[in-house]
Amino acid sequence: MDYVIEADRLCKNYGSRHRVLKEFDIHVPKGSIYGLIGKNGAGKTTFMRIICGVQPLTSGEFSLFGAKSSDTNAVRKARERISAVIESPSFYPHMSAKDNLIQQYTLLGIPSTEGIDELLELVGLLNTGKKKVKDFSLGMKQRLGIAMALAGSPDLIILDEPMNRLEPEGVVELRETILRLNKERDITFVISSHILNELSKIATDYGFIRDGKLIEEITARDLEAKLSSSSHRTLEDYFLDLMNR
Amino acid sequence: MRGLLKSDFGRLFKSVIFYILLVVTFFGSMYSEYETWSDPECTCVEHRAGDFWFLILMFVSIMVPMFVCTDFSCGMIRNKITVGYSRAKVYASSLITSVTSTLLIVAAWFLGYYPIGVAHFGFNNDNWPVADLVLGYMGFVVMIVAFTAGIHFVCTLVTKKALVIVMSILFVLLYTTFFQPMVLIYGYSNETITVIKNEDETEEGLVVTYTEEENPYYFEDGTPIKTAARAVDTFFVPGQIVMLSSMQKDRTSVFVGYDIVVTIIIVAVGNAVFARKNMK
Repeated sequence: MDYVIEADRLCKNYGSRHRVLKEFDIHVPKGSIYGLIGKNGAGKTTFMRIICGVQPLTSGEFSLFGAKSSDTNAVRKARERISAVIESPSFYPHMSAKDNLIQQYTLLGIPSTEGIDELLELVGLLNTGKKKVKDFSLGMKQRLGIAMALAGSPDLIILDEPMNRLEPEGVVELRETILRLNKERDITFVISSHILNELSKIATDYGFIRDGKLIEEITARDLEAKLSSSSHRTLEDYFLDLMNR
Repeated sequence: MRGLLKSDFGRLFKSVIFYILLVVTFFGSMYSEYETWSDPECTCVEHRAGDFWFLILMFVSIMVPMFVCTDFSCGMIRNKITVGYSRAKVYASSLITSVTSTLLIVAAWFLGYYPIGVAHFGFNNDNWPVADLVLGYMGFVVMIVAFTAGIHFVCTLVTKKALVIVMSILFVLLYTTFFQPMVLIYGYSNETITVIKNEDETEEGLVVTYTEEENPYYFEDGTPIKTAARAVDTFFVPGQIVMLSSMQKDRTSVFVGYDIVVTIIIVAVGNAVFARKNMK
């Protein structure tokens, strides 16, 4: 099987005492929607930050599209194929949604601005005109963050709690957008979320993380089979049971 | 790198505060022209040309944090790294943009000051060696570039816009001794100070006479405040020695060299620190 991300005994320490990731292993299959599930402070965001290069790792190794983390240039090249919205979306608050997307296109070295309107339409922000992003609602900001992540047609999109702060309609739109992009453009998603009910509607694979360690990886199909043959009825029950073991 | 530079410059040229500072600098230089005209001791435009640096340092203290810290506060720095740019390139691009914005502000000053100034006062009436004049100007410009690089470095460490602006302005006030408490610190060294005694309007222009008075800020040796003042003064001594030595006619190259070395050190340290920084 082809993996987009593979990690081998990743460790991340803050100072000498605070260990956030402890020998963390993960395998994200190509073309999957990988749900990363864990309690607050388990290490999900730290893992995403390391993959994106915004935090250096302490030890261990990961590979991104086959490029090893020890090969700095290769992994940087591989990062050109990813997009991420980690914690809060990134954009310039004093600019309009369109200007922010133009900035993103410029950063990505895309000469033409064609496709920006299409992206704005996709996330329902086409009619925002010159309204500055700082005046957007939280949901609109989240949707703009996703539009920014989609710019440049990445092969992997990392979304940290994307459904937070979205209104119910926004959650449905986001879910449908993710499913469509995954199916039509074969984009791999790594999504962390606490809204397990929503995650269970889109994820093809799961990784459960506890105290900085990945304690289980399972496909959605295997999980479904497990759930039907056990006392657990939902993903939530399964997660709680795993965390309490 | 081209994408980064295009993005950073695109943002700079869309910044309203940048244009406001350019316009204020341009008209500020006009005002300085008026002051030059009012000063009877000025015989050529070069006499007061050095006055520009205080205002520009103040503007750089506002401009650079507004530009650089925004990248951190809104998470765009994270975005730039995530899409595959190396940290060294991200640092270099925002530094180049910051320095360019500073140089454009300096250019706005010269554009406002020189065309009228030279027409009114003439160029180099005192017949200073042209090489010294050029080096003198270069010295000031490189010093402002060093200051820009310094603030840029602080921005990558502190990332809070308002805090960096306040810190930078305080530094400028301290360094240029315009700040009243700093007068206390710097004033300790002489028992007397020179003050204006009289200003007379004559047919030849304004005639100013000076007198020596007792320095009210003078502190006796051995007092705690004098010890503290001396410590602060000592902090700036290496730079001051080089600068003072460069004030002599044949030493301006030392001033330029000193500021270039300071700039290189700041950029090297800043880049190394940024390469290891955990981005929030």
